[in-house]
Amino acid sequence: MTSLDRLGHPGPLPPTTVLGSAREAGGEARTLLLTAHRSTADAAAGARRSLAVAWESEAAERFRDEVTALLVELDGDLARLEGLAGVVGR
Amino acid sequence: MTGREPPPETLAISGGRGLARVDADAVQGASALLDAAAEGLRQAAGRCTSAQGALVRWTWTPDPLAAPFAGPDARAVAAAVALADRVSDAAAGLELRASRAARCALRLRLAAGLYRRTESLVEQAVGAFVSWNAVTVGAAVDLLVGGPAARTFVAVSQGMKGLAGPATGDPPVPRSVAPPPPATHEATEPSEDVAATLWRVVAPYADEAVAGIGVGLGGAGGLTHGAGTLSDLVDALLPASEVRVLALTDADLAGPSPGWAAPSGTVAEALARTGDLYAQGSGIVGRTGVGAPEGTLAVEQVTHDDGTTSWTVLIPGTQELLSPTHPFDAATDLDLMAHETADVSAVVGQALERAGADEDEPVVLVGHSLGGIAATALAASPAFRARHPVGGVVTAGSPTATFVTPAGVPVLHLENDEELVSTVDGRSSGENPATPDRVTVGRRLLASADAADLAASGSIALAHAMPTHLRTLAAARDSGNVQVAGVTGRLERLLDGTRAQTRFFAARRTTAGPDAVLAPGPEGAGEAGGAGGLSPSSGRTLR
Repeated sequence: MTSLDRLGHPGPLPPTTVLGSAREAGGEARTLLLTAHRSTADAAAGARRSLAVAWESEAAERFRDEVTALLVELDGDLARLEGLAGVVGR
Repeated sequence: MTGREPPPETLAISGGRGLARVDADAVQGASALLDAAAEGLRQAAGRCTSAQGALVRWTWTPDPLAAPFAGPDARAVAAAVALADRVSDAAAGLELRASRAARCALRLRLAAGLYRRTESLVEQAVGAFVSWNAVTVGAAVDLLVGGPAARTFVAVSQGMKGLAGPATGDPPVPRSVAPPPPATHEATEPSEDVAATLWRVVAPYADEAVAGIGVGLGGAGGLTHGAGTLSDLVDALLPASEVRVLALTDADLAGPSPGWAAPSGTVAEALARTGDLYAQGSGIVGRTGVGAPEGTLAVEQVTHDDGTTSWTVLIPGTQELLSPTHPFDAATDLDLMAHETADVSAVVGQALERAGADEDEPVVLVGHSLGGIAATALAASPAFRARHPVGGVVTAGSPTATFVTPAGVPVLHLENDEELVSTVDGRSSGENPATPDRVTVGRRLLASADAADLAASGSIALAHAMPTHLRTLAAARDSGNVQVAGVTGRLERLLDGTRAQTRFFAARRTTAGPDAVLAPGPEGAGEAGGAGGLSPSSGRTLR
């Protein structure tokens, strides 16, 4: 699982000089990306709960396989959003 | 990373036996969770798109702290644009995941028999408008064909036929011709001409148009009564005739020996064999037709593990507009739609009796187009069921909604929105009678990701052809749908067996008098199956 702990912290490099409007735009974009991250994490949690469907059938097995694959992709999405929020924050 | 958008669901399945309550609740719960996940992912994608907008907006917003007329910081702008692109990619990925989650939920519901395709309000409004206009058209046609002038014409026609006396002698039986080589690929290039484009738009409303015409034509009696009116008119114009079946030998088949020593076994194979009976073959890639003369049906005698016997009758569809030689024509279509005695129904009974079907041996009726109407009409007929217990019915591209099939008989209908024929009963696939035994699989070809389906969506002929119906069957089976699995399982217990013997029969219209007897010609071919009979390729003599 990815974490949001370090998103508010500056990176290893000194921050670049940003203009006033750039700072505002970056702040707005960062807030939006963090909200998107939260929505995606919630969606992933819901999808994970759906794996517990109590129906034994070939179709249900395929459903579980598809949701498992989806969860792997969502993990990638979460990492990507986390990275983008970090970059925008700088 | 983003991959392809998953195809939309094209299937609509009604009828059949669903899940137990506890399983259905579990499926609804899981699919609801995934639907909520899809919605959350769509919202996340929307936030990303907004974030991208904020970044792009900055690149053209003047910097209030910069010197007047100073240009923008080129490096900062390039970085912001690159970042905006990455955020845009993230949004696209989340949209795709949202679609995939929604699709998973829908597929689960479809497999569990808990999904019904519904029309949007716009579709309902357009459908009502089409129906209303079609009623007017139907009423106008009714005035023409049912008015005094038409009644006089019919009376004169019947009087002249009476004066002429019953005709004698048989029409010449067409020889079978070699079937074309098997198709090597399916048509995958969608036609973009005006007619094809127009048809893709109006096809979903064909059932409303036909229902409206039926009401205008048949009044309170609806479509069945309207078909009866037209049927009477056509019958008055055609010479009186009776139908008989002629048993064919392998020598009468111009194609390679079908080698159907094994039973059909599956619904798909039974339908494919039905398609093989057309003179031009089925159009299925890799299959050659049997080279049967027009108007041929086949009867499979299936022997099962336990020594019992069942029968499978394969009935093809319309092969001519009006035929003097065989009953697979529009006149029979009208008779069937009017629920009147039809020649094809008669020849199925004759073929079973000639093949030796006993009264306690179940019969599975498999038909395409007209053949499917006949199959359903026979299953609905108490008189037919009194002679042959009906074990099941399979139809492809047949308007069957006006027939009531008996409880306990598994019935599977395959239809699609664009073929026109199955909506001639004035009902869309979702409006077919749905009972625990009767399952209809409908499909919207235009929504399919399959190139062959898209090509067929703009062509009534391709949409109605057997390969398209087989793709619908394959999609329904692949979906894992419990209703389809249930009905096909019941049908295939009868379609499959340890061995089979297939007999081919040519249905022939004859105007021979009551004392005329059909006899084999000089070639004196025997009957496939050894029961002795007549060969259409050898000609017939009266004695």
